[in-house]
Amino acid sequence: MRSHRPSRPCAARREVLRLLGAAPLAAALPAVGAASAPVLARAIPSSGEALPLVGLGSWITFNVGPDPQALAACTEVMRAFFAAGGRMIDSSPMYGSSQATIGHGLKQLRDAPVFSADKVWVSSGARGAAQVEASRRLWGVARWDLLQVHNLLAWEEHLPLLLRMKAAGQLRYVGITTSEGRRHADIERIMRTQPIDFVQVSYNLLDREVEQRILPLAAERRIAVIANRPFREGALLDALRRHALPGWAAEIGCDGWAQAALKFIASHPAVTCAIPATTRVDHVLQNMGAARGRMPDAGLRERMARDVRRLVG
Amino acid sequence: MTEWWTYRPSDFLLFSARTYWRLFELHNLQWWPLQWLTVGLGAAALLWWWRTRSVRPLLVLLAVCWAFIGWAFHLQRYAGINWAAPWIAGGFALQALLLLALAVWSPPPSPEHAAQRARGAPALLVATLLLYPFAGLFFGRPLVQAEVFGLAPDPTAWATLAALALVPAPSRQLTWRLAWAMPLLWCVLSGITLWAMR
Repeated sequence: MRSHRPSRPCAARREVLRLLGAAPLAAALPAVGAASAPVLARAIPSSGEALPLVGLGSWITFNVGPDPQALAACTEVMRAFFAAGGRMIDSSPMYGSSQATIGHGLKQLRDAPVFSADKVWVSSGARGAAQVEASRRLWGVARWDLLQVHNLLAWEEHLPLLLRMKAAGQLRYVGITTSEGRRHADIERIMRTQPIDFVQVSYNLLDREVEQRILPLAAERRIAVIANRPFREGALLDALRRHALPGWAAEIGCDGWAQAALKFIASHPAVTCAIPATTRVDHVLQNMGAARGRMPDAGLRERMARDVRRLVG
Repeated sequence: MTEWWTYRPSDFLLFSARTYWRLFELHNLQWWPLQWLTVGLGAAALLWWWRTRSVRPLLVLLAVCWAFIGWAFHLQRYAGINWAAPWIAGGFALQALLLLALAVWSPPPSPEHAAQRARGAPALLVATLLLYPFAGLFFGRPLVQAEVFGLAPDPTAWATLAALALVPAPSRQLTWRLAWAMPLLWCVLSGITLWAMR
């Protein structure tokens, strides 16, 4: 793991300063000491490109329809996310209007350093290309960074399509996704046999099944890992909220359970990026704070998981 | 969908509670003061049934409401956050046709209809018209997000179930039986949605 060093540092700093110029954001920034620490990143194994450890999901949170008030709020979340050093935003056609919300935000923010991660989600292989194009228009991006087969739906047809698109330069990375522990055997089989760059799975302090086979396999096959459901869609944080942070939280600079949960995930050597979703600027800043400072080592990770298991039962 | 048994209702919930209730807020603001008209007409139709035992005006009103909600709520609003909403709108349109057909084919009221027991259906109608809009207050939702008969699907579905119970026996043929399906299905779907959002 190394600190994130943009290939054009002057341009990146100018971009961050430009984003910081928005008046509402200035007041929401954390303390100077924390904000000035570099965002930690991990290399995408297939390319070496550095990706910040914490990204932004859009399941439910960005599905707000055409409500101008809600769209503006989501745009502010995105603004804060990019200003705090975030890059990957993940979405899907399954997520209602989330793609359009992201596109709205990107249009407002202009030249945001987004790492676009979306999915193909249609049962007919013949309709995959059209759906991907429709998604691209909603985002307003010229080219995808990452496209994934969502929950392995019709993957036998969509994966070859995505690989052809990558060969043609229409996207940079190809991946597959699942959630909540489903279809792990199929996920493993595809990881072993297909030239994918990313795999997205559920991984958090309680749901650790992927540590047994999928994470080691990802490391072996040099496949980047995106961790979804880092907070079990909020249920984990709700269960932990009434408990004080254990002493180890201070050791790794956590200001709350959200950062502890994200540091646990991001500190696994095989994980490339965790994608918590949120509708709040203060939460996205807290989440990005998890990508800074000290990370737990293997021993502390086990203590963290053990303590959380004991607290939530 | 493999491993279907591992899915919970919340896995199919596409939106937050805040976004869902905001739909009703925007819907009510857009159509204000139509709420007075729908509730007023509903009350008038109920009063007409009380005096004449003719449920026809109520069925016609409900048919118009189902068609309106299918277009104004499901297609124009709900579809923005739920990709299944256009299909739901189609179901609401079908229900409107069924209620209209039931209204057209219902025989005129007769003395034996006057003796037919209503069994709580009028009370349910009164509740959906006058009390349902205020139910959200008990859950901390403002009145601007109220679900009002004729504009919102839930109270309209409940009112429809009550109206169907008032249809006299001679009219209880196939159309009447079919007309129960959509309101019951909607009540179940809405109940699951509300439960998943809790």
